Amino acid sequence: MNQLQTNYPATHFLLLDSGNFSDNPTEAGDLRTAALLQAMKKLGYKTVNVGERDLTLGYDDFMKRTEGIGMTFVSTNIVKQGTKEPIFSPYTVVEAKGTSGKLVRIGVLGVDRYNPVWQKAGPAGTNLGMASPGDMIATYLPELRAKSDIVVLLASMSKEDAHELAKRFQDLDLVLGSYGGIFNTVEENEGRVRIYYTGNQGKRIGESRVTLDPKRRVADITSYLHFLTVRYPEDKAMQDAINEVLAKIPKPAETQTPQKLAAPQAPAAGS
Amino acid sequence: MSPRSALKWMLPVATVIVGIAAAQAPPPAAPVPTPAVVASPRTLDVPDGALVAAGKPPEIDVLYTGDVIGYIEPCG
Repeated sequence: MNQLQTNYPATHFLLLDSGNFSDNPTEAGDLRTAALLQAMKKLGYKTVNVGERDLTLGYDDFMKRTEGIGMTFVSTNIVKQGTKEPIFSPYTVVEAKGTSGKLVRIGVLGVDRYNPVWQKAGPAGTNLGMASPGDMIATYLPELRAKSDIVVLLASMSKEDAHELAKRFQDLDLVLGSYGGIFNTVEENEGRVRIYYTGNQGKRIGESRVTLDPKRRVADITSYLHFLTVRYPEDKAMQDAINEVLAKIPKPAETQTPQKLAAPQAPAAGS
Repeated sequence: MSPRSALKWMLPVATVIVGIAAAQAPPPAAPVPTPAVVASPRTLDVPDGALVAAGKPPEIDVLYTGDVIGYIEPCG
């Protein structure tokens, strides 16, 4: 980030996450998730898709963990069970000053893989369910396109499913996804829609440099995938904050040697 | 036989031989079309092993991650 900001001081950097930022809901996992959210806030993440993992303990727990974090959480297809009413904002429009000095409006949708049997505790005694991503995008994309110069879909689903959505919705500009360790090594697209997967565990960060034409439509996108090896220098303040959290995480109990299994007993004579 | 008279009869014979050979030769193969150049998709690697790609500043730069699942330790 520092290097990018140094090289391009007049450029706005928009940070997005396609969801599933949460660790397991344990004491150590909660500490890590909280530290990660704080780091994301510091880095300036603006919009995050709500992933299935982020709702492991339901809506109330999610709201408690993300309270006051200052990022917008979207989900286009997490709904009140049995309805098509989104629980979170189905999309958001981020406004930023472009390098040219003109305002750039970035519309962001977020979807999770379709799982019709998924359910979690929702607000006020309701349940959450998952609606079909395609149906929900079809509902919200036209109004979002009208309000945006660039439309991004954050996708927590297989890349094959993302390609299907991109093929169907040519009004999207970018599909930014993650699904396990899957990441792109080369450009992928469906028609005019670019698709980028960044893998998992924060090992890689995707970068798409977008230029607009005079009508404020996407003219060109040049993308890179940064593999965050030791070549990328650490930010000392960030590392210190993380070390502080890591020091609080209880060490796992020493692995005990499993007891030798008893040999199977010979059947008693006469049995 | 003088070289000139030898040439007199060798030339028609050579012409006949070449004619027969041409008649027996297989028809020329149909021209092989040059394969269309299929552009391989552009790599997403940062060029020249740089940390950050050089180039004209874009109107906006979008950075993205996903599935971080609580990882805060260095992993590279």
